[in-house]
This record gives sequence, C-alpha cells and structure tokens, in this order.
Amino acid sequence: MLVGVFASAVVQQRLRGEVVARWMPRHRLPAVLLGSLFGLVAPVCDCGAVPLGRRLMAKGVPVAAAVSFLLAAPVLNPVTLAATAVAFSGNLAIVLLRAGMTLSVAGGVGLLVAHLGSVRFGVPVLAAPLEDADKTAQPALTGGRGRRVRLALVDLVGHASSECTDVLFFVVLGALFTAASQTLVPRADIVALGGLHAGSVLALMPVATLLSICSEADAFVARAFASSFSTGAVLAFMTIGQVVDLRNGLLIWRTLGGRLLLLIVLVSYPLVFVEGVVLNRILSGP
Amino acid sequence: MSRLGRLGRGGLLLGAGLLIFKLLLLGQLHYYLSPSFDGVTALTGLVLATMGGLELWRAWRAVPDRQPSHTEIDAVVTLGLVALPLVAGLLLAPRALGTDGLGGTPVSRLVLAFDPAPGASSSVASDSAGPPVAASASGSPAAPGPRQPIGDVGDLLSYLRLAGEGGVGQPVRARGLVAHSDDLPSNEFVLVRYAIVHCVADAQPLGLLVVAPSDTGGLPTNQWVEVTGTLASEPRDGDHLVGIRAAQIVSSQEPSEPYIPAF
Repeated sequence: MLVGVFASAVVQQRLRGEVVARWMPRHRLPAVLLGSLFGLVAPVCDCGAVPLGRRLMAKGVPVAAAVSFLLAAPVLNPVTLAATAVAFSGNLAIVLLRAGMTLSVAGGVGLLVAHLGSVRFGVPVLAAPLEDADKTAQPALTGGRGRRVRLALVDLVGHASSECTDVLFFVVLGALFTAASQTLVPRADIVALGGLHAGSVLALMPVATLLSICSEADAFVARAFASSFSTGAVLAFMTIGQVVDLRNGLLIWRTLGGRLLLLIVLVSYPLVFVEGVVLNRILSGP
Repeated sequence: MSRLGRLGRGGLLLGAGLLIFKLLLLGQLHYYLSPSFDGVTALTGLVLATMGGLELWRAWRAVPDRQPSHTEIDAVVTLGLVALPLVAGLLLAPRALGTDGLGGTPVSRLVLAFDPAPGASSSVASDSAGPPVAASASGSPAAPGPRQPIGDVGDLLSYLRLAGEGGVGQPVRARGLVAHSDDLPSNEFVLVRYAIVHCVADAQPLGLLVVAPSDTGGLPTNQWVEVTGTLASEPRDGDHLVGIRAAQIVSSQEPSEPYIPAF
C-alpha cells in the first residue's frame, strides 16, 4: 500500500497531463491493453493499485484503461507472478493461466467501459485541488537547489500522507468485514463441493471474495485447496479474489463509483466461472 | 482539511509507526505477521512515523495543504475508524490465533495424512491446508533419523517431507493447541497449528492426531500443550493419518512464534 501511495504522490507531483495525452493510445484496444499490462512494471498489490489508478485517471488516463490497470495490476506484477510460481512448485502453466484469466477480465471490463462510455458510470473525480494538479504540482520552488529538493520531498510526503489516510479508512473497514466473514462463515460446508466440475468453481469463487487475501499471498492458500478442488476452481479462486473482494471492493467503490463496481461484478463473476468450468472440461479430457 | 484534522492525520501515521516498533521490540509482531517480514515491516514503521512526523510539522507550521478538503464529519469518521485498530493495538495485549479461528471446520478434517502412494500430490486427509507432506508409500522401509531432534511441528513437517511414513517411530516433541472432537475417542485429540505465508489473514490450520495413554478430556480446548512421544501412522477410513503416540503431555506457554512458515 505504501508503494502505491508514494507512486501516486510521484504521479501527482511529476506527471503532467500533456505527457499522458501524448503517450496514451487513442484507440480503445491498445489503451486497455496498455492499462492492463502496466502492472508488469508497477509492483503494487491490490490496495496499492487503487491510489495509483485513481491518480492516473486524474492525470487524464482514460477510465477504461485505468479500470483495466486496477483489475490487472494486483496479479500481473512480477511479485505476484513469482509468488504463484513458488506456491505451485514452478508450474508455469498455472502462472500463465492465472495471468491469462486476469487479463481477460481486466481487458473485458475495460473494453466494455470504453464501448459504453465512462460518462454513464458517473465515475467520481478527485477533488478540485488535485484536478488542478498541473498548476499546483510544483511547490513554490524558490531558493537554492537544496531547499527546492527539500520542499519537493516534503510536498511528496504530504500527498502520500493524505492518500494513505484515505486508503487506510477503506482498508480498515474492509479488514473488519473480512475478519467477520473469516470467523463466521464455515468453510467446511463449501469444501464439500470441491470435486464437482462446475460446483467446485462456484464454491471457491465466493470464498475468495470473502477471504480478501493479498495478491502476493493468495497463491499459497490456493495451493492448499489444490488437493480437494479442481484446477479450474483454484484458478478461479486466484482470479476473482483480486477482482472482487470485500476489502478492495470498498476502495474500488470509492474510486470508481457504485455503477462501475456493479459492472465489474456482473462481468467478472460469470466470465471467471465459465473460464474455470471450461478449463476443468479440457483438463479432464473427452 | 483543518489544522486540527491534519494534526490528527499526522498523529495517526506517527502512532501507526510507533505501534509497529512497539510490536517489534516486544516480540509481538509474530502474532500477526511471518518473521520473514520483520525487515520490511520495520521499514514500513519508519516510513509511517516519518510521514506522521512531517505531517505534524506541516500542520504545526501551518504549511498550506493542497490535498482535497474533506468535510469535518468526513475527517472525523475517517480518522476515528483508522484510530480504532491503532488504539486497540496500543492498549490490548495481542494473542495468537486460537481454535476459534477454524471457521467451523471440524478438527478431525484437519489432520495431516501420509500420501497413499509415491508421487501422489494429496497431502492432507481432507480440506485442510497445511504444508505438503511428501511421503513415501505405506509400508515403506524405515527412513534414517532426523539430523537434529524433532523439537516442534515445523521440524516434524520438514522431516516428514524427506522421510514420509518411513519416519514412523522417531521421537517427536511438538507444541500446539488442543482441539477435541466428538469423532475421536476420549484418549485422542488433534494438536492444531496454523501455517502462514504473510500474516494471520492467510493462516491455514493443520493438525496432528495425538493418541494418549489415558483420557485427555481434562485438557481444555484451545490450551497450548507440549506433546512428547513417537511419530505414528494411524489408519482411519482408508487414510494413514500423521499421529503422535504420546508419552507425556504438559501444558505450555504460547510460543514466541506461534505460526509455522507455510513453505
């Protein structure tokens, strides 16, 4: 999360809107793809992706590309992919399938948002002082170089502190919900469905949503399910858990608004379910 | 945000940093996080404390704030909620996850089992999620003893990965939580430990079947105990469960590192 809020502060302070306009592809597909794959060079987990994503939106990155980044970055980053490889004893197929399923959700939602137009989703924009960022991005830089650097650093930490408190509110709230669900919802009943093609996928997806495990650790939990659940279910667990989860859902709701969050849920749940079931069918042979 | 709000924000960030250092210094951070993250957690505490200190300084010196302004109510709710776990962390003594964290899973389903055949991937009797116990086939020849005495569950799991069922009969000492089950006879209970990767949020319970020479009903559930005995294979419903034939069971303190690393 701290990496995310500092990255957000750097974007706020250093990235100018004109640069985004110059480099951002004008067509939907490349823009969404760029947003999805940006996670490969931005090693942020799910709670770090949100502050960075919303700051990029404030700087002019199209909503569709920012949404794709938010959904893909927690998984399509080097740390998560490496953790998945370690958890599954270097099984590259699992790593690639996880990345592919995540990319399909991020890309699918992003393209749909681009097609429908982001205006109709009423995505909240950051408050005025931040929208005016380009005018206010640089602090009153007077005096020697040392003083300018010091002022810029203090300003950077100020942005990060504000962002951090904002994000912490939803992290704490989400953690409360998650702790309650982990304690009160009996997982044993759900596990009974583990052997079924479709049932296993359907059973593990809500478990992932309720557990809300960080993207860098969820593969190790998923690995433990591998002995009693189908491969498709385990991959669905790792995919949906980073797209629709209790803790991050609140942050996304705050950042993107209720309508877009609903769209994400409505698209990602059926898509991941179908992918999981198809995968089980393929793996089990004719 | 008002000057008071900014002071509150700075105080919270500084407090969060101090809480991390308090937990680190008192050795209590391991109730929440894997020891492998001590370094990065200390760095996080340092960064948070620095952010908080700077924010307090900025508010004190009335440096203009260019962050989006929250309403007073918004600021109070945000700071109040974030302060809750901070205050709780500073005031309450933390404790490790107990058997109440099993989420309704029957303890008899947590017991580790030896793999039924060489190369098989199944590691546990049912849905439990402990570290894999790569084991040789049932009836395999006796494996060499461990390089060092098996002093706890972590050592035992490491040994089982190498020796599998061939390690049966080796002396074992293990600490864990007592968990009784109606499915088990009165002289048996499940010794529960949690394995974690990052933190308690990803904790996965695993169990060892303890077979005692006499009734164990006097041991309360959720009590930490140290079991001394020999490694055993307990056939149940077609599975070979990992067990300990106990020679001695004594109550013990919660260990300083209550969780075992998942990998």
